[in-house]
Amino acid sequence: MFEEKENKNKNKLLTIIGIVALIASIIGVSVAAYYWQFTGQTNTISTGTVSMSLLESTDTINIQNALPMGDTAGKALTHADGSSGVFDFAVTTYASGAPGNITYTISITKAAVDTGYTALQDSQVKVYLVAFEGSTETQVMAPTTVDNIITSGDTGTLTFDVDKTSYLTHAHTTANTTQTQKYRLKMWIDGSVDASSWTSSTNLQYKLKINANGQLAS
Amino acid sequence: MSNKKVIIVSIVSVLLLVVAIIATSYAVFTANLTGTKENKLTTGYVTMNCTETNFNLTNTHALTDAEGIALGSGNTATCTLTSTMAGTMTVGYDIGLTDVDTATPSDGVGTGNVKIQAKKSIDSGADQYLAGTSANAGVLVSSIASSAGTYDSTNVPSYKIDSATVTGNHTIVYTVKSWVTSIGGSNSTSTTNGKCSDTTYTTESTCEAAGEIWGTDQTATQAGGSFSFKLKIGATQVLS
Repeated sequence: MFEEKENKNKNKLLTIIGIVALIASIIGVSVAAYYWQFTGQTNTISTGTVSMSLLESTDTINIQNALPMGDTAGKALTHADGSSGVFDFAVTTYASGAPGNITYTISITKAAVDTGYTALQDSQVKVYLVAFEGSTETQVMAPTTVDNIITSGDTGTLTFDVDKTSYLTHAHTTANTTQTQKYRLKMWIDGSVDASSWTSSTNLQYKLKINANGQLAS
Repeated sequence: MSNKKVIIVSIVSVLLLVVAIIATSYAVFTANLTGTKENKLTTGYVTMNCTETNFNLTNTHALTDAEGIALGSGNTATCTLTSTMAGTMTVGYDIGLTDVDTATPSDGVGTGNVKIQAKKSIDSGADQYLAGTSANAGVLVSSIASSAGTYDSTNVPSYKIDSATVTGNHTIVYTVKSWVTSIGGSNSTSTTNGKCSDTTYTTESTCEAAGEIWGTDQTATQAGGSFSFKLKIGATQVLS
């Protein structure tokens, strides 16, 4: 009796295994029945090269024995005044593509005076900026005392005249273009400064550097 | 021999005789009937095809979503996916990006710097935006990196754009736009002593005589990089 029951169980088990194997077989064949894959061509996106340069003239402002002067005289300073009364620099931008506008700002940073000198006050020094081409100068920033430019820290941005802000934008609307803008900085002691107390041992000095910071406007 | 034995022997003999008669009868009667109705199975077919357009956009720069989407065909890849079926079958498929930035993986333009906008139109129907994009906004490619296919994760293990099924004849146009949204890496800088603002002149005297500036040049350059991808589709039958 036990043997008969055992045989029945075996039969059931074999039947189940057979059905499962059959289903697996059917599924296996069915999964493989349709299959398709596609790989497309390469899509590429590459950025162009953008650069910005600041070219600073070898001839820096180095006025010895400077005394206060009015704006008219200060604006008329040239390379011939003293060792050099002006400082030329150029901002150049380049783009391999046509990314649009590269905008930039020009700022000044106070530098430490030489040993043995005392720094003039920011309010005693005036700076003036022109753009130039050949012998033609175009004012882009009116004479301004440094205290109105550097309001905190050691660096301040030059504020261009309202109608001259376009100088600060280089439009790169066609590919592979270079744009250069030449500037001339003039610096003098403001005419309002009282120099009556200055002597041969006073030793006042003022030093500054130019910076250019640009960005590609998105 | 007892009567009981005689009876048993008789019964056995009769049974043997019956069996012999039946066997003989079976052996002498045969019938072969051939049916007249044909039952046949003719196969159908399923064809999937992608007709694509690709792009090669050069000298681009970082763009906003609005700028990237408005760029036109220069940054647009399309796959016109057609299904042609004789018979009934449901095919499940995944479409995604493959070979993503494999050529220049270490430059300033990677999956975190490139956005895509993906959409599909079924049988010229309304656009359906995919992979988290919308009509006005894309997503960074890096954001779909871990998205695997539903029906064929072997061929679309990541960067999935869409999973769908198709039954019957349909035309599904997939459109993927791509643009650079930022450029990584740092600028290279160089300093050149003795340079003229007009590079035509190579000496200080000729430079300054021409009214140009001679001095020291500092240049910062952003070289950027490139990014590439392919569209990939994996399809398989979906059993009901």
